[in-house]
Amino acid sequence: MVWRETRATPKRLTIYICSMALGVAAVVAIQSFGENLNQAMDQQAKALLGADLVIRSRQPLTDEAQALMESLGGEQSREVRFSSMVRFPNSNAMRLVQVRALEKNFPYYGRLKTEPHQAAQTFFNSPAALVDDRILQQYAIKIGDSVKIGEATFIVAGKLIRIPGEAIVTSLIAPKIYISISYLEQTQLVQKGSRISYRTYFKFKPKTDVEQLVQNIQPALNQYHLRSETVEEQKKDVGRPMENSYLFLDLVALVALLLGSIGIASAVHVHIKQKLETVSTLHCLGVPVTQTFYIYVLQTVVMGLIGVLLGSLLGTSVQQLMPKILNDFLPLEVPIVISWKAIFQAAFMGFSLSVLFALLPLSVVLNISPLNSLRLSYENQPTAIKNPMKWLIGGLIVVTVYSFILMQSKHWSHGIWFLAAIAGVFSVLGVLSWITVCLVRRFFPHFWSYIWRQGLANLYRPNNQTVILIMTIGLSTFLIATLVLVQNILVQQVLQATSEGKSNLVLFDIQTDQRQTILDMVRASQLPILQDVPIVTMRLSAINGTPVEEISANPDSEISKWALLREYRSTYRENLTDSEKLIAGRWLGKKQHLSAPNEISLEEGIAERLGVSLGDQLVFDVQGVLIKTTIGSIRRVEWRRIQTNFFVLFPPGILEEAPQFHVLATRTDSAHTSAILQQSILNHFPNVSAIDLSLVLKTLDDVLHNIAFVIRCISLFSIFAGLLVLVGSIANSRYQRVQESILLRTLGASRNQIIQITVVEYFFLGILAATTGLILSIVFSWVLALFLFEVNFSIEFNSLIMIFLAVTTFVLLLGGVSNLSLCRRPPLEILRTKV
Amino acid sequence: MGAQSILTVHNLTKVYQNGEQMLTVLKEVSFSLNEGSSCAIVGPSGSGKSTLLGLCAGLDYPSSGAVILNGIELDSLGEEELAQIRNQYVGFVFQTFQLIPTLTALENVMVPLELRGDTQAKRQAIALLEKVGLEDRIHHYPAQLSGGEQQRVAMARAFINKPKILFADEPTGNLDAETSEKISKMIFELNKEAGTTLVLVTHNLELAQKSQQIISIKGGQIEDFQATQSK
Repeated sequence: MVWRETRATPKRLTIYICSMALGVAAVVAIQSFGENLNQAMDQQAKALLGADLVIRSRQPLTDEAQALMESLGGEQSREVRFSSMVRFPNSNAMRLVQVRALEKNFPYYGRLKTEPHQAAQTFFNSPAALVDDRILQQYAIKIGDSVKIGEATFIVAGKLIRIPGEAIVTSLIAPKIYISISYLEQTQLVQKGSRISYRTYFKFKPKTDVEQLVQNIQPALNQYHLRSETVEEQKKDVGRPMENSYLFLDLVALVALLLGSIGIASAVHVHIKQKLETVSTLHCLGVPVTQTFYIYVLQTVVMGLIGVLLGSLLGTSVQQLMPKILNDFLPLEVPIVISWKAIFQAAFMGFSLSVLFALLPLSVVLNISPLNSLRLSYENQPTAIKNPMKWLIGGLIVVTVYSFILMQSKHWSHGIWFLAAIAGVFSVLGVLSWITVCLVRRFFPHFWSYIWRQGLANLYRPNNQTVILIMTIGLSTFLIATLVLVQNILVQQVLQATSEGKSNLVLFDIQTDQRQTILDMVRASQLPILQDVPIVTMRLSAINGTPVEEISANPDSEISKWALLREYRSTYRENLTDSEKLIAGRWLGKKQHLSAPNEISLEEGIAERLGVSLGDQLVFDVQGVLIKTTIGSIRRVEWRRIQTNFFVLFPPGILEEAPQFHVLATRTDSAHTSAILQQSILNHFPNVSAIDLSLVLKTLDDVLHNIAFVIRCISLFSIFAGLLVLVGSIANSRYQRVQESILLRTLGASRNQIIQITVVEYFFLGILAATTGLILSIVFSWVLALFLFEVNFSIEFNSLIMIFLAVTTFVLLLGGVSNLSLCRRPPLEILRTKV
Repeated sequence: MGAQSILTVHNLTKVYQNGEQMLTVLKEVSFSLNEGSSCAIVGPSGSGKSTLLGLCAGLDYPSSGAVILNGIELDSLGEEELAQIRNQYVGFVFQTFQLIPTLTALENVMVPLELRGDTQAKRQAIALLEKVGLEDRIHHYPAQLSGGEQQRVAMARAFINKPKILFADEPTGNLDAETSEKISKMIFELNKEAGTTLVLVTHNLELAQKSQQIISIKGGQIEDFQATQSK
């Protein structure tokens, strides 16, 4: 009986299977890849760090610290890294990069991936550099060209393709150049006050308990202001953002699965509606209600299993593409292997959801009276609200989705938030779609010409499922449009932060003896000095009398270790800047008298991390000199601006004699002026670096472009699922369409008129779906702009119009082409069909 | 001067191919109907009644033979031209009413005129709906109307283009006896009033007797062609 029922409606059931397969494929692909990633992280854990242990410092190692390093034994390799402007004489280009001066042998595990392959080894032997691939592409630099770093010139020995443990996307923000540490001195960039990180990499004998070793030397590390990083810590550090990104991808896959399930419910709804007569006839023939129900449930299960099988195959194929899609975001190369665990998990999830979604419309079968075979009254069925079975199935769907999210994120709140978000988006889309269709009926333009009226009226043709279509196509539109709008918001954020009167070029790492000359150079270029800031590096020594080492060693302490042990770069000045706002206490701007406490101002975030408030005592170690301070005020800082901002602000009269370097901020009227000034300063002072607006915008654009690419690829699943619902709906309403088309042909409609009516119908469907998605997207982005990014919201109309036209055209083409065959049916069929 | 022929059917044969089998549904059928006359086609199920009606109305092409409608030989025309002929000269009433569910009664009636771009469709449609007694139901959708009301809307639609000939396929087949009686009465009245030729396919002999001629068809051939007492 199941087979007999199935063979009668092959197209509809094919759509059922496809909807399911697509959703399962999305989950299989993402989950399998997640498994592969975890395995790769485990297998290549040491390559993430390149060593067994890294110890780093912001200062050159003291003799005591050096002795500590030597006492640890094992193989050791040093690295010095800092940011600096570099110049490519051949193309006359300048770029802020991270220079890494490396001692031979590192990395001990994994390898720097370069082109040519051997460059990773040969660059140690001469004044040669490995340069980030993107920089080479950006400035059209070839291997063999030269690069000037500080006062030294290096030959580009190879392209740097991948650094183990670092995602390629990070090179967009801070592109890297590797040189041999033997040539570091020639650059003359390592000067007092320069912001430099010194690292020592260790390789120990196998089976060395590195965690224990670190625990043993922790007090000494704290004493010498050294930070350590082990393989396990690096794995956690790298893993956390990967986990978040992975969860995000998983949720996008789940959206595709849910859309597929909606497609299933919609297909089964129409299928059952057209089978009601068969069902009641079966009842009349003595088949029990439950048996008829089981026939359709079994049909659903069989289809579901086929869908799961196809979805798993498709998902496993898509899994092969994942490393290519995510390449720039992966910290290591991920080998692809089939993950049976992921396949079974996704298949079980997909199967459960598809059956549950199908049961929603199927439950109607249980309530069909045999009388229906004589008189069909589908409307007499209990509504969803009064049908306890539907409530039960709805509850099971919620539990299934929640369990799935819980399996991925392990945080119960993630599941709740996601469920709430998805319910919110679907409800809003559902309500908007319903309102739209109601409005069309309520304000139907009866004065329009017949073709337009008929096309519009077709939106509420029985079985047309316009609401579901507007929801699903609207959701796809929402995803694409939100991506564009959020990108725009982020760019706006930067532009607003650098709007009229605010600085857009920052020069930093200026030594005290270079300051005046650079000030003169900026002024000579007719540019304003918007900020001239001294910076003093210091560390926190004690909070309210307790040494930070003690607080840090206390396992019960909730104070952030990062905040406790970091190097603070602080400044001193009388007034607050316009990016700062006092939210507690007072800012006097000077020491009231010699014996008065040193009242400093803390940024609100760092105060929270340190667990301190007004009146608390902080002792800072300013390069060997201890300075007692009292928190006199808390500030809110607008960090987004291209200018200097500080966690700790001192009043004048305390830090003037401390070693310091300077930062200057100015505003240039064009990228050209900015480039000329940077070039001229770099020629005189190679140690000075610059960040300008064009660089920030370019970096932001590159990063967003990469993120958007990934999101678009993954969203394709949802978009395809939406399209399947559209195709399903066309198939579901085909019977009505054929009837209508034949009737109109009989009444004398020309082929062109039939085509025009179909085109108008899909034109309106496209318009309504695109508009619904865009409205939701605009509202959502506006909320994000207002509350999350805190910028003025502006709509990028050109992109939205493009999306609108693309969605409408696509729906129009798909709908139009699928229905072309309608015109070919001979009108004689009207005498043979029965409604 | 005698009445002019509106429909002439000459040696009409229709053969369907079913796999390798040839199925002859109509075999060398010939007859002629005058303008303004009424004719019922009767016969058992599967005798070829509906096929004959469809071929006469230009809904399909014969395998051989000819249909001449209002002086035009239909088999020489393309599908688009046939559609135009149907729109200009032909009206239809179906057993299952065949109303468009997304249009109101008024809009359904207007369709044939609107398809030819007539801007006066609304006025004429309202007049016809009044004539069939549905003046207070003109803005109702088909689903909101009873079977009898739907068929009356279908009749109004059939007459709106002032057809030269009306084809009705079991027009009372889906209605109860009382409504059937009303509808058949209305068909003949409108037919007479408009001077339209009526061709109806029916199993209902009582209805057939109301026509001026009855063609009995069996096995795809005309068994009998008789005139009745009706005028």
